[in-house]
Amino acid sequence: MEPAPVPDDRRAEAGRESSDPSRRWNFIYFGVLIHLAFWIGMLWLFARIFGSDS
Amino acid sequence: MSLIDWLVLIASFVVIVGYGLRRSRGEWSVHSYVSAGKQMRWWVIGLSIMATQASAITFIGTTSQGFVDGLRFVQFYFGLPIAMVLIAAVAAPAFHRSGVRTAYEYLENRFDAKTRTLASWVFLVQRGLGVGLALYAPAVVLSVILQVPEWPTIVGMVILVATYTVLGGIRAVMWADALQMAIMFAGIVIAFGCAVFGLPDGVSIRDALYLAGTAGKLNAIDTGFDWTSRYTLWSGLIGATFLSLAYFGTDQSQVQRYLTAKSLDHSRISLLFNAVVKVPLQFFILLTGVLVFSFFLFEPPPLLFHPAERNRLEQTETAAMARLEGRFSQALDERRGAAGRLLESRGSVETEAFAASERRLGEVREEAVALAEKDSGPGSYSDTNYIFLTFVLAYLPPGVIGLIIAGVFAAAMSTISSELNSLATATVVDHYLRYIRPGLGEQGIKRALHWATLGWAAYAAMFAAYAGRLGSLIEAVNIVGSLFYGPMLGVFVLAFVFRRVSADGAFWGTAFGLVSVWGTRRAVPGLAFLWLNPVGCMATVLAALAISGRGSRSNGRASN
Repeated sequence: MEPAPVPDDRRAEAGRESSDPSRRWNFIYFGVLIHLAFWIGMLWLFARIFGSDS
Repeated sequence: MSLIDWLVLIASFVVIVGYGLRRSRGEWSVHSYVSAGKQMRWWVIGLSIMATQASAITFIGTTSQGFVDGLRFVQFYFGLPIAMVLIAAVAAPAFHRSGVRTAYEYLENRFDAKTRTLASWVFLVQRGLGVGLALYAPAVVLSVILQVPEWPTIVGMVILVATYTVLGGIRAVMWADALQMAIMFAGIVIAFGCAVFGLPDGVSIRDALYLAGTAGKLNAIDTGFDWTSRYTLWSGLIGATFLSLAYFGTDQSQVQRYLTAKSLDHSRISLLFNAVVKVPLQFFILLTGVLVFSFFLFEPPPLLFHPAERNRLEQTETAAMARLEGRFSQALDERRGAAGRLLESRGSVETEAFAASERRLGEVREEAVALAEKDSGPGSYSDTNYIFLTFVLAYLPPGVIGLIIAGVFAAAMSTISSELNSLATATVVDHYLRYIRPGLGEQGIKRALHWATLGWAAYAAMFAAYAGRLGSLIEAVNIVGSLFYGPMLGVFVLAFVFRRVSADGAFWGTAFGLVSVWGTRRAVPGLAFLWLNPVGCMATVLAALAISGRGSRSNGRASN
């Protein structure tokens, strides 16, 4: 008789993480803040390229 | 405006009202009228949140702000995404779990009836003043631009808005908001395109941006820290975060929108949709104003953008105005030449010549403004809100003008309808049903909501009709509105975050917060208004914690 397959703890853990709604929402919130940081950086760059200081 | 513009404008009114009412058909119930049966999808809520915030003055004022002040104003919106994330994470789940119909009902669940009543009264006073101004301000501008008296504009807008708000409730308001937002967005995109295609041959959009940048219009980020400067990176990231938290997280006119969501996820996504879209959208609107500035480098703008005021001065100060017009025309020719030479060879000499010509033009304009203010006093004349519409009416093709004016009306109507609906809901739910007729049946509540909406609409019309005679009171109204946000945010922070705060602590903390903001404003007159929001919020929270701490210590001693 073959031994029962050993569950892959890491995969199971990862699966639980990705389906956890609060972790998913935290990830989305982080994305929104990165988006804000991107726009601030983009506007700063825009001002450096076209603004009166350039 | 031509006949085709009027037809486009009237068609837009018919479509907005018809669409809102059609979408709100079905059996009437309080749940449906106030909370849309909790069936709304995220994108309708998201557009409704955006349309409620964007008033007509935001629509025409922001583009004009881009013309006058460049892109700096975009910093005002940096706090919005941060606030939306915090509201989606903390406030929206709490409101949804509690099943409340107004934000202030939540305060009674958490604290007591007096705290709810205080917060709801603050909202009614603040938003009541706001809805009057939301009607009055665009009515003045549109009346001048369309050359019709103010009262038909005011009465017409109130009748249209009250029709679908009374009959269809929040569902009609939100679907109409979504459509109105689409009309506004179409108007801005077309205006942007017209400003770009209106540039003379040989002047590209890159050239237009270069000239605007040389004139200092593209300095979007100000990293300097100044308490008195209205728009800096820091006032945007800190002060505007508090303001956005208060407006989107505690104001019934916004909270009621995401309370209609079919699930918490829809509610959250609608808020985050705004968080992602708002900064790029404001940047785009301001950039349209900047391009209008570049457009007027090659096309002659009027000396003063307020047409009625300009006509008055031409008749009463004929000689002085003729001299100023002559100098203005000469300064415009110099600036156009300097702009052309700067584009040919982008050297420092040409840059300095262009800047000097821009300064000379500004000096002539300042003299004209001083002439306009001769009788009414310094600071009494402002034509910022007329810049964008002057461009639209003078240079855009027929049909497009009608669409953009429809966008201005749509912006006004979307704000007014949401405010009327939320004012009526708070009046009936937080006061009438709570204190006067607690056991009222469905039909009675229906009548109460209809009458409350009509009552607020009539009040808004009266306020707008008499606002012109209020003079400097209008400014006072704006100031009063800005005093309330910090303490309102403070009491909700206490409800969401601090579990041990007592009901008395929350109530007296809020009262202390209101007094603190008023005191701070008097003590530091130059303080930029955005900083009043963190001050009011923190004063409320600290006072409530102190009062609750004292209360629990004295209770502890009594029990010992």
